[in-house]
Amino acid sequence: MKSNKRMSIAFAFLICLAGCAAGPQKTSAPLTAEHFSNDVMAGKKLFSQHCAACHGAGAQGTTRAPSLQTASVQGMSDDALVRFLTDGDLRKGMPSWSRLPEERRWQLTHYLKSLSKSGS
Amino acid sequence: MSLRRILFTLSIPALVLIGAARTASGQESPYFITYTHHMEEPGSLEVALNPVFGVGKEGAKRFLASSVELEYGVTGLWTSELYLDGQKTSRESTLFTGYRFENRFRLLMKEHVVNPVLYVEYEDITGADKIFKEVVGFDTFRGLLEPADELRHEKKREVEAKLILSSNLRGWNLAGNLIAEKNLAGEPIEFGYAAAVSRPLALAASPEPCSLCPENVSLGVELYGGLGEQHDVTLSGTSHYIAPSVAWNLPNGVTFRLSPSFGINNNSNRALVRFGVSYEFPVIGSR
Repeated sequence: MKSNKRMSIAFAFLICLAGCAAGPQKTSAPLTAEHFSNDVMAGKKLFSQHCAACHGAGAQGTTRAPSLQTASVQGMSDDALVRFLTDGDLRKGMPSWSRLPEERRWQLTHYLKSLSKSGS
Repeated sequence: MSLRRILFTLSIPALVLIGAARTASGQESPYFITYTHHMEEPGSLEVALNPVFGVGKEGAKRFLASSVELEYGVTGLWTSELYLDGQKTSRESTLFTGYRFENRFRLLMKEHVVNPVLYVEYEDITGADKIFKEVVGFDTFRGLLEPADELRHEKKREVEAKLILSSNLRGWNLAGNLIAEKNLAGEPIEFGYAAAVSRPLALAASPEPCSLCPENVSLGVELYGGLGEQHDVTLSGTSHYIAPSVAWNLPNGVTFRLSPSFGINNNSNRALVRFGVSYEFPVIGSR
């Protein structure tokens, strides 16, 4: 009886914790210039941690993965780019980055889009 | 060899990993038992050391077990892992207890609300293995009462399958695993479960480089236990644990994890304290 009670408490705790997931969700709402600049900086940091090994330090591409400065990538909408980071292209070796929270995928997207503006 | 000396020995490869680390991807979940749908990046190799310190009850001796884990991303849909297990029980011999070879296959190409992964494992271990990578059947604390030197003669060649269901929702990860294990010597199929939820302390990254900052720390909790056997599927007569867990992902690809598991019924061990240190070598193979 005592162990059943402990089991019930443990299950209830897990369910409550899962319920906390119902928090506010990040959207693609317009950012202020300062927030956008911070997002680009954070995205650059994330890129160096997660993407640069394959795509190169400046996203110029390597023998392992293509450049992200091309028109086909820069021409994608922000939403489409975030979606692509989420799904990856598993057959072609691009992993899914759904393990990163959506906020960080948006930061990566803002950084990637900033490459065309900076001309780098 | 004393437990203290083993701990010292285990810390050496951990320090080597940290010293050798350069910038690498690493965003590990804090789970030790529960699997998510996140696969190893194609061509990347993760090396991990996962010691577990066990406190039994009713006269069971304390022990320190450990596994060395090599995880390789074969493709975006397929991850392979090899585990080498060993253990030291207080006042008994230090033992190599066997190996496990597992493969995980992601079943869907794109991210969905619930993402299924199929897991298949072959293990060749002895009865002295104390990694507790899962709880199945009617596993209880009584399994630790026999001396390890006797249990080492018991061979366990088993095939294990898991259905992994995992979901990312607003920064949270929720995962559930259903486990079925079959001893090839002809024993009935044993069942188990694991469920977990986790979240990073901060969802967005900060603009500045940082190591000890909320974005690099994830907290979670796992619940796992046995579900009986083929002819007697039940929550009774087996053991169950709850395990809060924390992971600290350093920007250089090293991850530290800690998770104390607490037994929550009379059949459980008192506590199993798990540590983990891992490093991901980025892109060493072809994609």
